[in-house]
Amino acid sequence: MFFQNKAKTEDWLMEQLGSSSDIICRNIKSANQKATIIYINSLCDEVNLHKEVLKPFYEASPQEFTNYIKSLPNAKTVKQKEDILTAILQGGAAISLNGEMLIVEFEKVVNNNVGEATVETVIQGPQNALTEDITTNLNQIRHRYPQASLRIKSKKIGRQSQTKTMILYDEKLASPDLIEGIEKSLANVDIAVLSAAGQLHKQLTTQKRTLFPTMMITERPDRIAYNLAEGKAVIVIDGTPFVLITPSVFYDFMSSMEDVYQSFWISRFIVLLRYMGLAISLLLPAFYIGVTAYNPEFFRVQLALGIAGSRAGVPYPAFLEVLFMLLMMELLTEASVRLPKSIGSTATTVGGLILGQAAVEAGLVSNVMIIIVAAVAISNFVIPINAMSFAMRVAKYILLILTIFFGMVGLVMGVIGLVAYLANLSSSGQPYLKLFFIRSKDSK
Amino acid sequence: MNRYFYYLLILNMLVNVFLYVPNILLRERFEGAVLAIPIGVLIGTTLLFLFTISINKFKGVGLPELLEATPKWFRFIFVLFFSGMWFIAGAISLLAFNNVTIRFINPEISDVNMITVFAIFIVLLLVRIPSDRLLYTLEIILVLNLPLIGLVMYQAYSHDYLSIYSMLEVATHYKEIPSWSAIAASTFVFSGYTNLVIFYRVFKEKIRIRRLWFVPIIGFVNLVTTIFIPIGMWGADGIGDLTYPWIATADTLQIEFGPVERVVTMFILLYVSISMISVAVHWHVAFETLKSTFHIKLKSERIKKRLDWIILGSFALCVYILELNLKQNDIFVFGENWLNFRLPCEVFLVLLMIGLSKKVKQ
Amino acid sequence: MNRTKRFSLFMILIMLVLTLTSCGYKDIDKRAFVVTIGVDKAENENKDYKVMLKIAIPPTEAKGAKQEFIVSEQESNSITDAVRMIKSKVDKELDFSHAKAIIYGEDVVNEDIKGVLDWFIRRRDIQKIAWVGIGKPNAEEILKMERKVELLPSNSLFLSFGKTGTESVYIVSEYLFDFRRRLTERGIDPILPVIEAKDQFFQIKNVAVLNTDKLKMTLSAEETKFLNIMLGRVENADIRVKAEANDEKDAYFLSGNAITVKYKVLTNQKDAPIIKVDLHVDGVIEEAMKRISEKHLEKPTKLAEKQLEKKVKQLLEKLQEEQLDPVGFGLKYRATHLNEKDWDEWKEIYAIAEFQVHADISIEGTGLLK
Repeated sequence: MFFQNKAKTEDWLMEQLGSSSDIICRNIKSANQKATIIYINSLCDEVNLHKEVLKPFYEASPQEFTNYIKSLPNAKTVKQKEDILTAILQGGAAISLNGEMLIVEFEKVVNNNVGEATVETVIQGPQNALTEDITTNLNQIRHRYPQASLRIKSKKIGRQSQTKTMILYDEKLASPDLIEGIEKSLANVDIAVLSAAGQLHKQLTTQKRTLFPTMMITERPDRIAYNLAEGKAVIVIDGTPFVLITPSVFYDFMSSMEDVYQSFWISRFIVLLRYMGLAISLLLPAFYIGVTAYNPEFFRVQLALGIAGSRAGVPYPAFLEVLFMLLMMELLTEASVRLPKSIGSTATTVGGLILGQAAVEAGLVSNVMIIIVAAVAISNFVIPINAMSFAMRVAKYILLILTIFFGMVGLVMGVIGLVAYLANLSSSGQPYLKLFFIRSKDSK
Repeated sequence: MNRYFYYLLILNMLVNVFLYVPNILLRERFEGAVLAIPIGVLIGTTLLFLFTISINKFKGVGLPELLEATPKWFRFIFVLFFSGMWFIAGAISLLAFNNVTIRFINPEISDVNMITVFAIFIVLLLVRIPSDRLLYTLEIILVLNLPLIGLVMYQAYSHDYLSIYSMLEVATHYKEIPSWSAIAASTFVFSGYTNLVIFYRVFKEKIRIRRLWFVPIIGFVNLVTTIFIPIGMWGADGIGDLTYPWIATADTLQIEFGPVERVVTMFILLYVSISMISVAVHWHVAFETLKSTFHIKLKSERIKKRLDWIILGSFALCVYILELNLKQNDIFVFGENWLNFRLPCEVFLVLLMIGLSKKVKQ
Repeated sequence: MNRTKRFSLFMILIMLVLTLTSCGYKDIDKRAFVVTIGVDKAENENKDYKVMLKIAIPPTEAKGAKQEFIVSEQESNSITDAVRMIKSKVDKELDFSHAKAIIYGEDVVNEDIKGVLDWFIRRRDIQKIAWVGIGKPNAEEILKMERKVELLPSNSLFLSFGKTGTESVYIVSEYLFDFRRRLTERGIDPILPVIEAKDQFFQIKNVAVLNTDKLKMTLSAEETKFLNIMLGRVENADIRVKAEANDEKDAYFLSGNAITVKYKVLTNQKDAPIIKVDLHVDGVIEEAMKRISEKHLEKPTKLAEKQLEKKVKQLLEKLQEEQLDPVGFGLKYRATHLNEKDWDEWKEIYAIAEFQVHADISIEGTGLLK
């Protein structure tokens, strides 16, 4: 009976795994016992397997060996054959021994070397980012946040990928409602393959069409520790160096870890600079159109005449000019993101310098327009979190269109609408945009 | 949450410029507008304090919830009437600033089109937003605008050509007995507190009455600025001929070394944004009052949502019809009548509030 | 399904809203910026006015471009009509939002000013902070003048009136709104600077005083300076002091700063009403024809005070004779009297009032020379 079952399980497993070159099914026999080991050698750490399983197998008696295997910290007994399959697919070795199926995990991790942060850089602060391996990441986070109250809840997400996902939070600081809410929404996630933090973020928001990020995506362990200490929850996903932090409000997306590390006035200055950058990148194109085409009394007369003069040779209306140049700028940005790093700088030079200069000389765009588009592009990069800077790039067009149609009043309407929209958003129950956020524990 | 109460007060103080308060007071500058200011401050603050003290007896509820204690027929009539009053408050500011917009900012667009755009925008804004989020929006808009308005006011007060004697000449007519219109207009400045009937729902703590001592002072300064700055710029005799006294006054200001030399466009845009948010606040109160009365019986979410659209859609439609039928001067007359009628209604509201709070005590 | 439906409904709504715009869009290079407006008497007998608009032509090269402008003119009975006719001559949309100066010809002001003011106040796009002045001999000369140093058409006019450029004691700058205030207010009379066209430049050194509808009197440069002082618009002015009261020779010049003026109206039943004017000047000697000792300043001070008093009094009496009140004594009287009929009273008072001018000069130093 037992035997039959065992044989069946093995066969079933092999049938499921099919014939691949990296699937190993080996029957081993010693003087007084025999066993079958099934594993995938591309996932499994064979050196350790050899040391911890095969060697004792030939040295110990059957009873001792069974006890030894069971006492290993990475071993477990699994009843369901589907679970065995999953375990094998995640780097476990299935050992069938006297009719019992034992799983010993020998996960082989290749990409666990810690690299430098590239997306969110700071000048003088911790330089390392998370890795693609969840255990290494947990190790880094635990190091930065050595609190007994740090809780980790694990869950597998993805019908096919079965990605390891963990919720980290400080039990003393985070509100139970928050954790419960996250767990509930994680349970609802229905996705085939989960491989990036942004993907999970998209699944977790209730509204399907969103523009603004309501969860922070970060690669910095110091930011994670900082946010854990504020009572927020962190969702770590295996296989990506980015994690999700929730709740995250508008200001979090406008802050860099640099703000914490710099002295008071310097960090205030940087933050102010950033908001000015935000205002410029959002409003400048729309403002330019609104003022030149609807209310030229805004300018000083010298400036009004100067702009009128620079536009004299341009055949299109100003809004087409703006849209055209902004489109060129977006293409340039997008191109330099996708291109390999070595070619990227060439693209920007060709696009930015040569194209811009040539466009002016050909009389297609005015000088002033080049200045405006350049200012918009540069100030957009000041926004520290990439997701927010993307969102603002899009929001700019909404304001621009409103202004083209309704003039400065359209711009005012757009700004109020944007503020109201942001204020109406929530991030895990927290209002997204609100002045004078009180960062205190009583908010929970 | 306490500070949001101040924002509601400040909102009304600012928006009075578009709601014909300066027009009424300046028209009667020699016939009692001067005395109307202290009387208005007195009446306004009295009502404000009585109302705030009464509503402070409760916590986190709005007027619709409090009215549960009253007979059904009364509740129905009251809710209908008062939401009507709030709707008209918003409608008048909308009509007024629409008028200013098409006259000064977008002269090419037709008035009906412009008001449709405004109405649709405000309806879209209101249909989803809950009370607390509207307050956050209000706060941000005010914080963005107030420094610039402060700058404009500083320019006005420090203007070389501001004639003190013209202002004094008007001030010497303080003995005249003010008309009902003038008093009603000057009390309007304080009536931002009435929005609490809905917004008190989201106030998490009680309003600290002691901290309100500055309200009469700010209101007084506000009223004095409202009428005396235009007089100082355009003269005691000349100001009477102007249709938009404050906009003409803003056009007398310039920032000699600033990036924007002519203040008037900036001023109008600032006030358009403030008025827009004020219309949103007033309509939100009307909308929520109606909603909470009708929603009690309804169970289906879908019908509730549909009802929301119907209420807001009819708001927009009413404004549209009003705009079609009213001319520039009609809007002024309409606004003045509304202001006159508002004062007794406000007194009634405050008395009702006192009554309700007494009842709870027993 | 429901979501897509709602989304498409939303998009349709947005499209509908966007159709509500009615082409207010007008590019800046399709606008003709009027920088100065001039109104003259028409040469044609049948027409009332000649309206001139100075339109700036934007420079196509940013640096070192020369100023270019055209002056478009039209004779008509009303300004509205004239502007409409000019519109048909100019290929771009006229934009008045940068019209920073309004020049009336002398002939226009000599007749009736109210008729030519109404349009400027009523139009929304005319700046109320535009400078107003009288062109001599007419507005056309001023508008068509090409000054060599100007980078922007009419810029020298703006600079002369505004505070950013020259600050001269002879220039009485008048804003459009202030001009109207003086015109409508009882108790203060309008003033306008006179811009005199010379060969290649213009000079502003006189002020014209108007009553409620037309020009009454033009003051000399010296009188203009004292009026400017009386108005409290200048704080620094040089005061010329003669050796003897009747002597033609100058003794020294005083550079006065921190000049303050106070005045009040004293009415006493018994005596004739008195208008009391107090001047206070802190000054430094700027140029001395004879040697002035640092230790003996009392005598020259007395001399200066007496002469200043006399000159101011002469000016005020000259204005009083014509029943003109640009300083605003009447307004002050109205502002300090509670009764209803204060304006009628004032008219009687001003006719017989006597001026008492008191000057208080303190010489703070003698400059870099002892």
